[in-house]
This record gives sequence, structure tokens and C-alpha cells, in this order.
Amino acid sequence: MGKDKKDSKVGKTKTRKRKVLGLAALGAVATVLFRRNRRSAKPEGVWRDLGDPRA
Amino acid sequence: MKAAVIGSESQKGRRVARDLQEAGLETIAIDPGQSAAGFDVIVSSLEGFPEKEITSAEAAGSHGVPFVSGNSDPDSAEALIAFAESRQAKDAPVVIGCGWSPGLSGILARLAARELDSVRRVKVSWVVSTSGPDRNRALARAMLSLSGSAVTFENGAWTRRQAGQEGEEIFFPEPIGWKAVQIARALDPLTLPGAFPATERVVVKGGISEPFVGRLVRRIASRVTLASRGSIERASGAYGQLIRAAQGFGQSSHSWSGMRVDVTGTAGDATKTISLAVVDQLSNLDSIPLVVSAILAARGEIVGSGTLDSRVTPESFLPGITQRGLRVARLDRRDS
Repeated sequence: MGKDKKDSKVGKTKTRKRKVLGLAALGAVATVLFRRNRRSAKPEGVWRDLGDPRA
Repeated sequence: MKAAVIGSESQKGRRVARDLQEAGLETIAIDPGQSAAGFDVIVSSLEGFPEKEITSAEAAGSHGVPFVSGNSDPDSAEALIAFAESRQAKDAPVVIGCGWSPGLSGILARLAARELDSVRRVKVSWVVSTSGPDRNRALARAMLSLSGSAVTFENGAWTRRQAGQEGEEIFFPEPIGWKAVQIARALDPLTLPGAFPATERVVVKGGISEPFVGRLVRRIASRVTLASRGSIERASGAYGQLIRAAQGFGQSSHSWSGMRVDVTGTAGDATKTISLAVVDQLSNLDSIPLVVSAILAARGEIVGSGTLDSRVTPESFLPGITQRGLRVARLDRRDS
């Protein structure tokens, strides 16, 4: 692996770009998971039918 | 009893006319401003066009016929409030805001306030679904309400805020659940402070049930600088394809819309929040409060002019909507 990396022709700029893209992708995944989690958050309480207000 | 419906060519108008007929009223469609002679109530299902409503209300008043309006258009609110307030006690009633928000929102706020010694804050939150058959109406409502500058009542004074901002998640009855809502333009912050003298804050927030469509609509609404019906319609046309694509992408598993009213105040030494809500299809939420208002007005059970919540009591109004299938729910908090 280490040898592959050393031999790689990918320059420093390309490596930086890949790192940024990777971080952005991770951020997007984290955002999606966070929002899903928030959406399935615990209910604030129980909604009960009020019934007839005259009763 | 005889009812005349203005705006009966719209989906909402057709539904109101049908429901009034089913309730046993002879119902006829008329044009705005047409003579009201011989009718027991004039019902307006127009959205926008406050000048047409005022002309019709004057025509109704000249024959002593009550006029009820379900107009929820935020641009029309101030003109209609001013007109209703200018009516004398001896005049035929002119009742405005006979919808779900405004309308039912104020009635629920008054019902909740009975459990409190004094009301400090009122928050009305609504959410519409763009997944069902009412998707275009839901979109128009959201676009109109979430664009431009909204009047809110803060620290005992009216102020203006950018609509579509200050988002928060609100828990609606199932199947809606938690939804994001933002500051919305509405009539309630103009009228409800008058009902609760000690109140410090009245705010209305609204949103779209489908998050992806909601974000897109907010983005578009924030770019509409002239928050008028015309500019919104132009923007809706220009972005129509984009919104339709988003609707396809972000379909919800249900098409329910809903409203929640939170009233916070003091009860004894404690601070308490009472939360009431309704959930139904948008077409029912739009038309049922207007139908019930029209029936009460035709029977002569509404006296004087003003907003719906100031003219009826929860006891006289809520049985009518319950009978038509709109159920009011109350939140029992986990911590209480």
C-alpha cells in the first residue's frame, strides 16, 4: 500500500482535492443521518381527542 | 334558508357550495357586488381581491344580510380588518377570517386561554402537504405566506420580520409528526393581541410537510421581492417545473395538513402552555370552518362584525366542525 502511494502519480493538488471532496461527502452523509435522526426524535407528548367542548 | 356563494368557480367555492346544500341551505352562486336581496347569508370563498369582498359586503349590508369571508390571503388582511372594524353594531355582521388559519386558530387560542389566568404568548403553527390532490393550493399558500415581510407581535408591539426565517421543528399530531416551520405572513398577529391584553408575543409560523419541497419553496419565496399575489404567481410559473420535479422527488407517505396553537401564560404561580391542534386534508381545513360560519350567520347566531374568533364562542363553533369530521386534539406533554 505504502509503495503504491509513493509510486502514485497523483500530485499534491489532486490529493488535496480528493481530501476536500472526501470530507464534503462525509459531511453530507453526516447531515443526512443527523436530519433523519432528528425527524425520528421522540414525540413531545400524546395528542388526545378533545371531544365535544360542550361536554 | 338561502345562501349566496362568491367565488364558487374555485375548488374551495365549489366545496363550500356543496357542503351548504348538504346542510339544507338553498345555495346560489353570485358575482361579487351582486344584489344580496332575499338571501340569509353571503359567503365569500375568494382568496385575495379584498376590494371585491368589500363591495360584496356593502351590497349585503344594504339588505341587512350577514357576510362571511374565508379569505386567508395575507395581503388582504389589513383592508378587511379595517372594513370590519368600520362597521357599526346595528349593521349586518361582516365576519372575516373564517378559515383554519386565520379563523379556527383564534378560536382554539381562546379555548386554551380559558385555562390560564393571563396569556403571555400565542404561537400558531401550520403545515401543508404538497403530496395530495390539494398540492397546488398548498404551494400557493406556502409561497404567499413565506415571502415578503410578516407582521408579528413582539414585546407588546407590532414589528416586521422577514417571512420564511426563524425555522424551528414543531410536533404535530400523527401522521404529520415533527415538521419545520418558519415565520409566515398572517392575520392572527394583527387581531389576537386585542383578545389577550397581557400578551407579549403573537407569531404565526408555517411550512411544507415535504422537507425538500419546503426548502425549495423557501428559496424561491425569499427571492420574490414584491410579496404580492401577482409576483408570487409569476415566480410560481417561472419555477413551476423545478417545484414539480421536487414534488416528484420528495413525496410524502401521506397528504395531511395541520395546525397547532400553543398558548402560554400563567395559571396560579406556574407558567403553563396549552397546545391544541387539528389535522385533516387541506380542502377540509379550508372549507369546513367557512361552512360552519355561514350556517351560524344564516341562523342569526352571529352578532356584530370582526374576526371569526371575536364573534363566536368555542361552544357554538366547534360542534359544527366536529360534526363534519374535523377533530381537535390536545397535547398531553410527557413531562406533565
